[in-house]
Amino acid sequence: MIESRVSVVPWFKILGVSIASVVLVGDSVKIKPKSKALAVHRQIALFDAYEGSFDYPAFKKEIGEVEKELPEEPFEMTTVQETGTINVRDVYIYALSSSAIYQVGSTRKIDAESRVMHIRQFVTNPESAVIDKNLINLENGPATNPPKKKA
Amino acid sequence: MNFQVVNKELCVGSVRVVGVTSSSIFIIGDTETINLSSTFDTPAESFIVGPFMTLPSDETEEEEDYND
Repeated sequence: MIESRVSVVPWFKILGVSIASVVLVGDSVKIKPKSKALAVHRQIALFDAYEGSFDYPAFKKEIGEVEKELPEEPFEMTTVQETGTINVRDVYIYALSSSAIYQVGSTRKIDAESRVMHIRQFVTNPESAVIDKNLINLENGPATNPPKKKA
Repeated sequence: MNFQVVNKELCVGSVRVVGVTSSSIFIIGDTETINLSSTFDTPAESFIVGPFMTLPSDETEEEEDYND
């Protein structure tokens, strides 16, 4: 096992942690978060909390491990730590989601997995929808740019 | 193959991150093995046009082994 350093982070702030995410202060041996999500996008926003299942190929298909695909070349790694610490003054994170990890400290193995199945449901065909040409104005640039104020 | 790493002094100021999502990591420390996988599937049959229907649900609860 490689020699690990001490991590020093005097201040950090995180606003949100969700769906199998980990915030860890200190050392660990193995972290293995796993998440499965059905992302349902509906024209009519009606949802029943008990509907749906994970019975889709997206949740069953094996994800091959990288180790198995690497050529078997003898490999030796040595790490020299000249100083015993890693210093970070401050960290600010908005959000961690879907098997995400934030750790201040060392670990040996990280094995994260996230699977999302995306479903879109429409009542009327969006492809045959009439597009209002008045909403498209290419002269004023993209819609994300607010109109400039005149002095 | 021989691979030698020399870690010298490491000092970082402020770090600001908006999002860490879908099997991603942000680590201040040392590690040996990292294996991150993420899939996002939106097949043609998941695009549904028709009368409003809830998604089929299954009654059986699957059990998973979290031991290893």
